[in-house]
Amino acid sequence: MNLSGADSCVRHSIAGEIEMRNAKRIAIVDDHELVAIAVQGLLDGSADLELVRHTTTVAELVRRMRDADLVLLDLSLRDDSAPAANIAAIRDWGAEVLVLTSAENPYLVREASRTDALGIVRKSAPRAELLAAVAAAARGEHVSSTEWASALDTDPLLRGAPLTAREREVLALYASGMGAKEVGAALFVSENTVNDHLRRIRSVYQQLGRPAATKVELYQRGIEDGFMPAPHRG
Amino acid sequence: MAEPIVGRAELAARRLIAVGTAIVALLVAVVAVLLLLRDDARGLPHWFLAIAAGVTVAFVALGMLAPWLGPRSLRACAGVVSVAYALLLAAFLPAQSVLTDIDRFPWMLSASAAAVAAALLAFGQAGAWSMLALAAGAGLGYRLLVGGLDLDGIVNDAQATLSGAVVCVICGQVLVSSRGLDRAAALVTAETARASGERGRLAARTRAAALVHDEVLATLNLAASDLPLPAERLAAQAAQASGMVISLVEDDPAVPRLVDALRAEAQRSGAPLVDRTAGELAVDPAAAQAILAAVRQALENSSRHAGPGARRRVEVEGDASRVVVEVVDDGIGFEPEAVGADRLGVRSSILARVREVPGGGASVESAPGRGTRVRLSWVPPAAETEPPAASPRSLRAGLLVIAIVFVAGQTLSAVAAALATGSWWAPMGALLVLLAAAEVLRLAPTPVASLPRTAVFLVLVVGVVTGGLLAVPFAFGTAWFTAAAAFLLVALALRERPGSALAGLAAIVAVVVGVGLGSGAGPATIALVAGRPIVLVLLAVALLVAVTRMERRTRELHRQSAETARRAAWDAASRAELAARATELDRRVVPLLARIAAGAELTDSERRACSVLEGELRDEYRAGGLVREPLATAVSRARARGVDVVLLDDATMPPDEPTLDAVAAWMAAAIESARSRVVGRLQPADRDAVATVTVDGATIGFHG
Repeated sequence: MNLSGADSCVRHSIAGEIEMRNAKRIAIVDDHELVAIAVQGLLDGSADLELVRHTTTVAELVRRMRDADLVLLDLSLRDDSAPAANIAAIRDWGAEVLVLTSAENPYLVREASRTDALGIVRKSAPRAELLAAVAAAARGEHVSSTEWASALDTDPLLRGAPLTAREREVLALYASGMGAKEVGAALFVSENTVNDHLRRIRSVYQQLGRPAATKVELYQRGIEDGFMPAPHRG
Repeated sequence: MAEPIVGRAELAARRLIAVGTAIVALLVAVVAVLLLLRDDARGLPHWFLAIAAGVTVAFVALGMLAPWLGPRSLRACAGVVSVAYALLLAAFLPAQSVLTDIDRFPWMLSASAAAVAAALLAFGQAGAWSMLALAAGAGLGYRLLVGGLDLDGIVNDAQATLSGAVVCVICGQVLVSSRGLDRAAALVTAETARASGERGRLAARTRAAALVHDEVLATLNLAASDLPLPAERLAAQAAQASGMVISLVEDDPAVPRLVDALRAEAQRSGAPLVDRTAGELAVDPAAAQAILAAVRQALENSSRHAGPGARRRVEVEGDASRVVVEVVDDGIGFEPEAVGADRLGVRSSILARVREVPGGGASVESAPGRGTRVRLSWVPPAAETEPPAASPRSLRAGLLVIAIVFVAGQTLSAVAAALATGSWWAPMGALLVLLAAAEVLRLAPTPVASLPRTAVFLVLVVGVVTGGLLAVPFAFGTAWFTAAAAFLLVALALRERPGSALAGLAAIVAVVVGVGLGSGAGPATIALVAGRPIVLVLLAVALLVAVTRMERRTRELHRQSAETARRAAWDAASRAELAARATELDRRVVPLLARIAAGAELTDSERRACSVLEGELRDEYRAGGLVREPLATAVSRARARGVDVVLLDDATMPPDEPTLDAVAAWMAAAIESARSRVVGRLQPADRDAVATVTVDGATIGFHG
């Protein structure tokens, strides 16, 4: 979805105006405005991505009518909000989510992986990698990362999950730092096949939910999870 | 023998027993003086009477001083008093030899219960039983020597010995259980302090980590990037991060008062706080944090889902021992069971978080159109302050001795009474009824005797006294069963029926006075018959009430000291942790942050230094066992070259140190030539390799 060169001339106009072109609107929720400035610098190179807004909380972001297609969300905000609740709020708002982290323990990464965020990316990743991740997420594609694969690969919950031996193999290799291409080469399959496996692993993991040992707990979970009325997705 | 440390409960119990001892000694002295005016010990030499008076004063002084004596001096005073009593017993030998007109052993000397209690305080259970044996033996010996081994003497000595045995067992038991209370409290306090310190350290580490994460990593990350950033903004950010690191240790780690924090939280959502707390809340810091986070989440959910115009409020009630916080709204509510089970997040953030805290509870009530009420509560986790079922073996042995002394003493009294009066049926009948009453109580299946059982028991006890007194001549010896009945009432009081025991006592005293007056007995005889029952039952009930109150008070004091220990440990641990972390960050991070804060354009090498430091800090979250030389140096060098390095410790079973050292050396060599990207990983236990490293797309494994 390459845009003409003319479009990039208006790229610096942040926020507000309703664009007629096909650029994906990106918002960022982060404690630091500087991060937004950095992201602005990052996106300067690509014509079809436009930063429209920066807020420091999700509540502030979703208070307005939806004005972004993709939200880059910091995993741990200073307001102590829960990542899962934040992601749910943004999804209710109607935007996709790509999670950015500084450095996280695997538990937080796992919690974010259970949500329907498109992926988890480290802020300190090389510039090209970051940009590729944002671009993929803006297209609605899943974004896999070593940190994500590693957190899942070591989650005891996944041991009982309905994954094939091949899928587990893919996850283990990916978690060791290989890219989809290298994993494909190692297993004699195509890169696309690897990505298919990764997608399925993601959706299986999202469906795992939380450990629910007993029927009683399952019942309790139903009540507790239902504490909020079902969201109205637009 | 090492002196065991006397705890708060035990000291209180010892003082209580000392006071009881003084009261008994005083009563004995009063009765002795009354008897002296009659006939009993007239003619005793003055020096002996002076010694007796001195011993009585010593007993009373022990009781009066007890509340101010420490454990050691209390023990010493009790020792002096009990030795003085033994000397008094011994002094009777020369005293009686100079007399010719004394015909019986004086009653006062046989009343050994107070001395037994004093011996218990001074020398423990063995000392108490020895004193009882000494007094009983001396009584028997002196009666053989000077006379008095008649019905009155036998009955009196049997009841006195029984009193002493009861004192041994009950007071011994009080001491044992108070010691258990102290031991349990010490354990609870130590455990509370340890756990609280642990949580304090954890909280401090979390705070420091959050700071590093939120400010330091973000700043270094930005500084390391080659993206165009306004230098003055970056400098400001670095100055802020640096200031936060420096002030890390100055922050007050103490958790703010929960009520204040709740008010601030409610205010943020425009909701009122209804404060119904009574006095200061004593909430565990971890619980307070969980509750606060849950309240914040609940308010947020309410404002998102309760519908427009919904009013919400936060209610808090509680005191030093519990807290309940409710977030209430009158919004549209929902049907908890009708909502799909696929929603995550709220359960964990609101309810599970509070429930995970020991002592925490959380629930939510809602119905369509009826609003929503989230209830969060905390009570101090049930600590084991209950005294352990205090050495049931010694208790059972003690009770067995009492039973034997009771049966033997009453049988002896009954036989003596039968021989003295020449009539067998009345004493034997009374003995049988007494034993039956004892059985009724003994067979009670519950610790607290049931009401019907208590009633049957009282009918038997009061019945035997009434029938017995009507059947025999009214005198101290022939009325032996009255005191026996009083012992049974003490047992009833011990089965947690002190009121019924007092009622039984009143009935018995009424019968004694009535029958005594009816038979024309003098007030002294009536007092003699009724005296021991009154003293026995009243003292036993008073002791029970005092012990119960003392235990309750002690428990409260123990709880307070555990609470103090908890707070102190939390503060100390979190301060120490923060100080250590701040010192470390000050050394590692602050110089670089200061350079950025100076505002100058960063050189490439400074940028790389930021990248290296950022990577090091990131490794602390995730690299675990891989943080060691020579890998750390190799990784720093690679990062300084611009290589993106990720280290992951995913070992489910941590390898041993030599293996980790080998892995580090192997991995360090492998990344020497890396150009753009390195992922080093300790593998989970079930994999082929112990570790892998992926260098620029090529993966190799370490197999040990």
